[in-house]
Amino acid sequence: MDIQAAREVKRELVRTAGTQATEALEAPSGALVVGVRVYGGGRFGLAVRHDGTAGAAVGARAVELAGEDADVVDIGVVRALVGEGPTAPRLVGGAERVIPLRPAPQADGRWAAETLRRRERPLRPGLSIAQEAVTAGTLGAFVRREGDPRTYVLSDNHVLADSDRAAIGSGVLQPGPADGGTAQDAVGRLTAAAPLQVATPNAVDAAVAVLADDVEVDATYPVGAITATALADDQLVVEKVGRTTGLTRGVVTAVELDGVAVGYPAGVLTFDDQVEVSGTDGAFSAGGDSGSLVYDPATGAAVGLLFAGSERGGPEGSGLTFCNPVDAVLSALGVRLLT
Amino acid sequence: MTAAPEDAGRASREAASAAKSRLAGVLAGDGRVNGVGVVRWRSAYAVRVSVVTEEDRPDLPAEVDGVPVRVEAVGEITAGPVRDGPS
Repeated sequence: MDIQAAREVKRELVRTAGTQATEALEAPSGALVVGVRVYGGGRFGLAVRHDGTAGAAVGARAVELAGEDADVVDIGVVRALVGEGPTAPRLVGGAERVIPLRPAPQADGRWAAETLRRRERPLRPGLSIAQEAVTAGTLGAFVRREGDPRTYVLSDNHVLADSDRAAIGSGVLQPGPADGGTAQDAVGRLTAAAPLQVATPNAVDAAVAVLADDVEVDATYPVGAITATALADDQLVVEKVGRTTGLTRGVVTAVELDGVAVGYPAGVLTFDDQVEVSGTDGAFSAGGDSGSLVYDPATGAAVGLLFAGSERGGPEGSGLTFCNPVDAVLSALGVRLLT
Repeated sequence: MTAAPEDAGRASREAASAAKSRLAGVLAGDGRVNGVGVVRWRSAYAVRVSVVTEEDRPDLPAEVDGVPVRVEAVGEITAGPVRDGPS
């Protein structure tokens, strides 16, 4: 439907809810949010978020009025949170869902793209990084191997290992060459990469590089330390910090994606069991954000490693972002997040 | 996205996952398709087939084992380092 029709349906839904409020409605019967949803390409619809009680009737009415343009989700109880970050409440068994109500992230200087493309020490998540033959990607996380005191950086195979073309032991630069990095900016050496398979589906695009002994790290993300992992469930709000688009927020819009066909220099490779993210304020990522760690800002848990993007699709047609499930990445490389 | 039938059932996550695997197997190797996954739809779940273009897409069923099938054109997908110098 067009924007006018969506707005008319929204007004009807608000009447159904028994209030003239236009945004969040908090009633004794539970939480309800009614809004216009932008699908892209001039298509609009209705977004209804309710807690499964009285709001469910509004959701059903939205489906009656808007058909496939109605996006109705039971989100459980909504609470405002104070002091978010890794210590914020987690989802509890799906029965009660806690949604952070802080505004979308603002890219202050520390997390702005122009800062992340510079040479920065100590190393930190989101910075430009790449193997010496690659243009530039993103430093996703710091990791350790069992029984090994050294610290490694985690990013994509196509960032740290040049899609399996780089030699083990070759230099890794911060910033990446596209951002002016040279041999003087070497911070470590390629150590291991999960090989990219041509004939069979892949699970991850990931590699690690061991850091030189004199390179200091600051493993702090915009939400603080990230030491735990979680599954990327659909509709989960996520964030990432990356070299090209800085700090962005999105939502998981598809899970368990099989047969994702991704273009690489060597040809098209396929990936199974992937996670799709749509940006909530424009595109979630762009070229150069590869390797970013995608995390749940409400819990501070890592959920994915960003590795690819589409030309179109998603809200406003700004393109979709694809991530490897983070547990598959850590398992493939035999590493764990730095704690 | 294209429409699934109005009378399609309210699929569970498990049903959608099973239907996804079945459809992904059928579509494997089809160059017009670049992903088959599970998505939320109308307070339930559906299978989403990502295609390169709306104009050149395979014929798809409206549902698989009672699970609605949705289609979205997403263009080409590429692994994303910077391609032509700083952006």
